[in-house]
Amino acid sequence: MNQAFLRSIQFLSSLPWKGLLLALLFLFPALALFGEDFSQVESLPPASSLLDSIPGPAPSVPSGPAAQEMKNVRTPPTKTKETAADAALKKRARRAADRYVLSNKTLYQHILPRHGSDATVPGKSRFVKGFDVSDGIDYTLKSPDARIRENTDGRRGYIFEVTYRTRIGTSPEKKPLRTLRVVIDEGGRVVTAFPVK
Amino acid sequence: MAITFAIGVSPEEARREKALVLEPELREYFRRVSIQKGIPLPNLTNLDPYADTRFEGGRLSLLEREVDDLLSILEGLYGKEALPPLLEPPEVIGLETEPEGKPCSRDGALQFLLALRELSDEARRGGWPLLAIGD
Repeated sequence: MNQAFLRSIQFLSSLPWKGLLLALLFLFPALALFGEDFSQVESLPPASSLLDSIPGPAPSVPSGPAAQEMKNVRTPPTKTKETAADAALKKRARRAADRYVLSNKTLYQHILPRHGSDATVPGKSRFVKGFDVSDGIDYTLKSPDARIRENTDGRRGYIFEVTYRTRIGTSPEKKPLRTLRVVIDEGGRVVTAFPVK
Repeated sequence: MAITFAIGVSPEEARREKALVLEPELREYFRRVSIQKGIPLPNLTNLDPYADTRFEGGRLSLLEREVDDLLSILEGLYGKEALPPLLEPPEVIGLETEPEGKPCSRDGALQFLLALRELSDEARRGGWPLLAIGD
């Protein structure tokens, strides 16, 4: 089919300017019908991309119980392509997290005095009463769903974050917080942990 | 990653009523300005967000000088109508912990620096350390 189409194009193009008009007349519908295959032969962009630019009918907005049901369904997060550098970073971070150490000093003299539910340090987010911080750190560092990135401003180490379904802390303005951020150094020592948005 | 400036001998005993929070967005903005203008502000922009820094004596003076330098740079910049986007302060800060954030813009940036200057003056007069408390 495609070959016949190509031959007809060649024939039309050999004609004088009338042929050009004919070619234009047939070219556009043909592109729409066989565009994908044609573009593979001729290395042209697929005709479907041309069709995409044509505005279609407005999507209908469902209403009633079905619409409510649609709102409750959470769409899975779109996966972005992970670069080799990202993968290597995560591997290093996971290796450090596998042998993490949470010292009593870090927990009782750093994290809890400033982020514990009874903490008095001004301007800091606080864990809610009853939230087990060391369990939360363990969960975050071992969770396959944790978001991992390098520590900021060239500081060595990694930042792990896990978002909980329920509130784990409150902001300085008393707003609920559901994400636990854990910072570890390159050796896996926990530097700090605190609730964020 | 917000850093709280407060007067006191330790984070637990810091004076809550006059605490001043340097949000990460504003710190990043100050760092951008210092790079763009070629004026190093290490005591203000290179603070460790996960540890505490104590300012007293000579270090407090250095911080005060940096705040004064930055204030005069920003006041000069804000006198001009249009600035490159890099030199404009963020409209909203504190998004790490507050869902809607807090308004900032030019007034917010200047107000923060003036308040920090006042706080460091008070620490100096009272002979107290000024703490930069990290997370």
